[in-house]
Amino acid sequence: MLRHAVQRLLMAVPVMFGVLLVGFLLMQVVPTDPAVVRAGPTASAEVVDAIRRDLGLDQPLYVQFGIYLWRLAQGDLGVSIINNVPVSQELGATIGPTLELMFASLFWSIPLGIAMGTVGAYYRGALVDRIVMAFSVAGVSVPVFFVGLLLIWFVGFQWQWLPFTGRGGPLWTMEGIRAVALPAITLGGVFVGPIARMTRTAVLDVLGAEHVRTARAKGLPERLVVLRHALRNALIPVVTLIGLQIGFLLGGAVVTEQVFSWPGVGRLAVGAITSSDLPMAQGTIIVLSLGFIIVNLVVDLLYGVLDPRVRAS
Amino acid sequence: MSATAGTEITVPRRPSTLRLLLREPAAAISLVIVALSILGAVFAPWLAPRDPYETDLMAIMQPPGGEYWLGTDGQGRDMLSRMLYGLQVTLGMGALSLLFGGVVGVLVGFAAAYYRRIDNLLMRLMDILLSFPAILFGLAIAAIFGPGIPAVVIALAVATVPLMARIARGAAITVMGLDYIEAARAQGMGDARLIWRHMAPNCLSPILVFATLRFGQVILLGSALSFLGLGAQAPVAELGAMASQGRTFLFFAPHISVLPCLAIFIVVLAFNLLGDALRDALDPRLRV
Repeated sequence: MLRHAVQRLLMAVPVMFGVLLVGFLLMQVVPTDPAVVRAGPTASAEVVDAIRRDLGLDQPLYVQFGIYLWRLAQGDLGVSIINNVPVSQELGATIGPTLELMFASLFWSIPLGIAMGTVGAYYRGALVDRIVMAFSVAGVSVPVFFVGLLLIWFVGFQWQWLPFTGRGGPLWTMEGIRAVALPAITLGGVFVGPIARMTRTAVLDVLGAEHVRTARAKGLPERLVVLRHALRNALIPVVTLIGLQIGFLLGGAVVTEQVFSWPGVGRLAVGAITSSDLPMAQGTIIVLSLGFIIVNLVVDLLYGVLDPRVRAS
Repeated sequence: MSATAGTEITVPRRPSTLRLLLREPAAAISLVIVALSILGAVFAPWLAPRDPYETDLMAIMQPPGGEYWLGTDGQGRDMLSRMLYGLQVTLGMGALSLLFGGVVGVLVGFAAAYYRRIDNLLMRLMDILLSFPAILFGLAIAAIFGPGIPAVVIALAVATVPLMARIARGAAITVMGLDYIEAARAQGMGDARLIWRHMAPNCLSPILVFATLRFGQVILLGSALSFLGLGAQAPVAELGAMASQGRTFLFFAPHISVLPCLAIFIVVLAFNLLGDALRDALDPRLRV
């Protein structure tokens, strides 16, 4: 177990370093001179030079990389060239809403997906199974923004049931829940399908196993056979697969945030890139990547805890 | 070949892949949709009734069904023509990224399977690439090169490489263990010829199945990046970008946004169903 954990940690370190290096080089390949940008269009050559020295831009690249890492370690990600706000401050304000949206989406989509997958596996080949499968294929084929736009049009605009722009407040308030409802239905909606499909496969696998036959043979009620003996064992691969789908969730979240003007990191990143705000773009991409690596690492380690077979291999 | 000359065995002829595919109604319909969308994209310049960029300010936001079959957009441009050209750009973006990413992925996968010394190194590198979601490549590459179609193609190609490498490596390793490869090698055949003539053809079906399924995904991802404004830029007709621009008119003329969305949905669905059916047809072991 420990070996597995150490191995995974050791693998994550160079990857994180790589992300930071790419983030650093990102600023190097871009043809704009940050000193000129920061000084403004009317600044004299001396002012630009002073700023360049001040930012350490006159140093060799590896020294600059060191300076960059040092600043990063202190949480200094630079300043936005659009509104002069520190990148870390904007990130701090947007991470919460993004996590909120992801949580609200998984909160309903994971239980529903697992239930649908279990039902589909149990009634394999029957109409209900076909419906579950059709739903999951549709789920991986539909553009996230299509689901969002339809919800905005019907639920938000035609029927006027729920708000569809921005965040209403914290999740424990009624406004917060109402505002997150449509984005969470959108993002969770495309997630239900894959979860149902993975659960169905896993439960089908376990239903054919010997211990399930034994459980049936000793006359256990079907409900207990499925819930206690089949589903519980199937959950291990399902949990891991859900973890591996976090990338898919992140992609969906970026689009969902854009559709519903949700003030999250994804929307911040997209806005920064389309307005050429490089420090902001760099900061958001680094934070998203590092967050993603850490989530992957945690999922991997959890997998090792849940399933002893992983440790062995 | 000459070794089996004496013992003639008659094997019942396996039905052709196409026939197996057409047996399933969903697969047959998907195949038709895929074929039609590719034809529509390729022949867009001949099929489109009007110029997709010609604005008619006297006829903006026309609903479908009038003089303009699918209506007009917010600037009075013909939706049908824009959809056909949009399909061309969207499918073209997907095809290019699949081609680049697929070729590199297959080369890496074959190299890893054939030269076992570099297997571990190559596949660990692929694992690293695989650990990042496509959307992050999209954001990073759009930040470096600026938003645009090339950024999307590069990002999706990079995201495709490790997936294809895994598939190609898996297929190649199975083939490598077969006797005829050993026989070819014993005859003194060179590496390149052996890989190209004997290994590659037998790895084709899993690669083809994966490519079909992946095509649906890259279209979905590519149109999402364009929707975000990181891909095709106005006024280029691209389905994701059109869906995004149509949002402004969502409450007055929903078709401007909904039609491109619907087109993406149908095409991706068709590719996914076709990929699933192709897998069942080409790999009888997986058929239930």
